[in-house]
Amino acid sequence: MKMQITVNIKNDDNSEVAELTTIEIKVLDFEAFTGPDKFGEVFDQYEREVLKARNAAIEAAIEKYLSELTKKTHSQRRRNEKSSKSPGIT
Amino acid sequence: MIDAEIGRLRIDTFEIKEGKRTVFATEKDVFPETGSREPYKTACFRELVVFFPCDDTFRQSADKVNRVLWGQEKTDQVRSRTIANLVEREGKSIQDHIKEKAEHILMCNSFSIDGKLLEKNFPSAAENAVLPQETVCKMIEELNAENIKERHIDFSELHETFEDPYSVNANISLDDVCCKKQKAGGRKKGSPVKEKREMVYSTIAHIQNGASKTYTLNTSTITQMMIIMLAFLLSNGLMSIPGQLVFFTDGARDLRLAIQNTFCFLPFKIILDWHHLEKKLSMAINGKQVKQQLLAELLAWLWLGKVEKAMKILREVSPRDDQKYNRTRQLDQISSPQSGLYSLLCLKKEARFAHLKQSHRESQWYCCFSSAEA
Repeated sequence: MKMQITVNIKNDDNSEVAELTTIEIKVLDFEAFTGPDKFGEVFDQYEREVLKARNAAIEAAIEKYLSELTKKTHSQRRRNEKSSKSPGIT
Repeated sequence: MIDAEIGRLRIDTFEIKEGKRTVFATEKDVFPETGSREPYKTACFRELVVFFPCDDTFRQSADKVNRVLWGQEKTDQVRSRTIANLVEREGKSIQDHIKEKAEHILMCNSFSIDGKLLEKNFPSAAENAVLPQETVCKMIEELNAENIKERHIDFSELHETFEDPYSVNANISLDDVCCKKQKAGGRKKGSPVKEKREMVYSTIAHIQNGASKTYTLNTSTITQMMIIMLAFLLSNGLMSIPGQLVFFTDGARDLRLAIQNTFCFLPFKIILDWHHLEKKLSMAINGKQVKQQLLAELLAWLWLGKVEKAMKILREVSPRDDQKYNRTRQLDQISSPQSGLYSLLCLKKEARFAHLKQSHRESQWYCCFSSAEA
């Protein structure tokens, strides 16, 4: 069985801020849960994998978000500098 | 409901019934049973929660756990009482598991579950552990060459065997630890003050193997410690190789007797560690100024293994009668062969004695008494 975590950061107009982040991991089949005695042990394996995948997905998505932010901030600053130099404003 | 590190999971459960009889119920047949309204706690959750109370109170731990888990709703937050119960339950299950494992190891190695050897002989090689006299004499000569004559070590004054550190299988520091008992329900206003503070006693063993790897064991009694320690040493092969065990204790009789009873079938050595020797001597001398002066002198002589000289100094001091009793008692405790400290050997941990490298890092000098004599 597989588990896929997809993170999609969007603007208010639903346009994508950054490309999709997708993490896919293998998780235990339902058959692994053989009974209440084994539940704790089997679910522990499942939870650890899921926690790692969740953190990896969010980490990657936030990295992309911040990369976009730096690009935007840089172009914003250049635009501001240009507009402050223009004679109309001074 | 499941409390997981991922968050609090609310799961729909169902039952299959044939008439009035329940054929299948997810609460019993899939998930482990818990108390009513008690969420099942996953291993990750339990692991996370028990980290904090090692250093903080249960209330502070609850705050930290809730911050880590980002429990927004008040109903989803972990309470301090829950953490307290969880810690107690985890502790008990760990102790039970250790006990079970220790018993299994003992049984597999021909011991009874209370640590008694069932077979007559236990393979050991005591001779290999002791240094030859020539080596010890050579060491003493080298040490004496650097000191004035008065401070020379005399081999004839040393009634001790000297073990080769390379033949020591394990250094075991053993002590009883006592701390204040924490109240289960917290402090209540107006509750009567107890005359005697309740204490919790536990026995701690710090085990170090030849490769300086360490492990710490903790039990509530000395008897339990002996069983678990024996199983630990067997399990890690520290008793199957030639060599001996070295115990560092505070000189307490109960610890010594327990070691002697448990490890009587193989060579071992009990050493009164320098810290406790200093402490015991300090207890024997009253008066701040006299104590400082005498202690410095005594320790300097004991450092060189000159027990007789140290005892002579202590006897020469004119004490008050009440002090004299205390001092004589302490002296008897550390000096009589019956009580343990038979002689004092000082081995300096220096590069030139690399072949006699001391493996116990805590103290530079050994203050020894032979288990045979003790």
